Amino acid sequence: MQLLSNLARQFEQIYDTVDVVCVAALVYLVARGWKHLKGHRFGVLALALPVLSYFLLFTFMAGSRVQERYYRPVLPFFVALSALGLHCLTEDIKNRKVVYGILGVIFVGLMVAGLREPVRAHRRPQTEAGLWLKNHDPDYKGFVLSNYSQPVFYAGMRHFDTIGTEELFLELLARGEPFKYMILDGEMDGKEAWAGQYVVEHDWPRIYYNQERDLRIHENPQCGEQTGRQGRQAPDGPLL
Amino acid sequence: MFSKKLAIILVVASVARLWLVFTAAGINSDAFKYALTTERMAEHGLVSGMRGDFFWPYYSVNRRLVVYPFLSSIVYRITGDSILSLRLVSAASGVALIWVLYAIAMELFKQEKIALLSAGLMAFHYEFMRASASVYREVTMALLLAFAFLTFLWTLRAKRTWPLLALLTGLVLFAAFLTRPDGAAIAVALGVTALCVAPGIAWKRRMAICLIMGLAFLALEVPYVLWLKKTSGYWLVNQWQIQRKLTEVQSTRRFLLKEDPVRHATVE
Repeated sequence: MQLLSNLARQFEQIYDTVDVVCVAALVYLVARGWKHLKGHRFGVLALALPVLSYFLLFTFMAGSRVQERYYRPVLPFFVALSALGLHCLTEDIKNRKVVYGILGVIFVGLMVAGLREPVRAHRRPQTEAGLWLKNHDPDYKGFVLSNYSQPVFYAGMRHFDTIGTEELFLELLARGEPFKYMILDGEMDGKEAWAGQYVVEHDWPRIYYNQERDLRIHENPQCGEQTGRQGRQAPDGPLL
Repeated sequence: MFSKKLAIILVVASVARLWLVFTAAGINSDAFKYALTTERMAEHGLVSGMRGDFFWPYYSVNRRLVVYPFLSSIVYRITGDSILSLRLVSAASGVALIWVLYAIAMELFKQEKIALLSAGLMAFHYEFMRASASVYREVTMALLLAFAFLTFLWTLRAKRTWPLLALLTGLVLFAAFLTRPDGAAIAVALGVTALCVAPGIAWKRRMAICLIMGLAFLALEVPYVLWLKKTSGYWLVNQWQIQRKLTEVQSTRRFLLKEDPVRHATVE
């Protein structure tokens, strides 16, 4: 049962990696390759073996943990096989204008899909929050507890993860390690729920808020009192 | 192995990737680790960047594998921006891959139409195009695997230089292994291809190709494993494995509180 589940997961990830155009071309290759690729058996096999080796590796070693990007290293082999499928299609269609039309639609469509929006647009609020924090406190280079690393990196500070680190965090805090800020992004649950509870229980004021991601920056009141920065108005929402 | 049509594909693909690089809005969760590693390697040298005591979770060796941040550290010396450097390495890898795939298709099928279709699909594959402008080592990994595959095909065809080409294939496979650990799977695929699939090659030469590729790989892997043992105290085949020896909390305790990680094995 586990193996079946792993196999289903592999096919799902491969489909996400390869995309619908290449999958269609691969299906066409399977259907018509025997006719148009006589004498190219070695080429097809040589391209298929790296793909197969990745498939077996991830099915038996990574199982359900596999992600779509894990298959990207063998995408060139998938693409070369898909190109063979397209080759078979162009051989089957005698009208050259129709062939060029189909290829034009495929390539322009792929290009438009690729350029549809900036890369990682959904992470823009994290970049902005980090840059805001850097501008807010350019001198601080110490630890920031955060469930995402991005805003801390852009703030030029040191990231400290929230997952399962409550005991360690409290120990370091007791030893005088300065944790001046905490950045909480989205719903905090499971092993990182403690961080959300901690800022409420210890009255860490919110100094920045982004509604799009529900991203909050809280300041350690002890550090805030020392620097006099507590109470500065957040640009994107009210103080708590 | 070049044509005017391929040149047009390369130019369009380069422009598209550069546009995506310079309009990118954010980074993924692992990117900052590659960025800090890149900066470390540029400022303090390769080996310093291979040690892991300069960012969370302070493993004794850097869990980020070497090749991608090392290439970025070279570009960083020009740009001064680690994220931009990493994106540019991905973009350059993505464009180089188009030519490599064209060469592979020409080598295997001897038809320019198939080679151009491969290059075109690779150039405009939308997810890969976007990945080529992101901080992902998978694009560099894809280039290394495809290049190892190409040199392997040359090895099968060459009459005199095949030992050198087999050596080169082994070295490129090692570089791939130091980009993502799953690169080892391709070594198996190439071995099977050499032994069982490649047509018209004498058995002695098939065996010799596999042996040379394996020895070239081991020539770099063995000193690397010894360095890992000396630096981390563990027998590891690459840096990525350190996470299997210590949890993040254990390694952070080891570094920040100077504690023996074994005593805190039940922390997580």
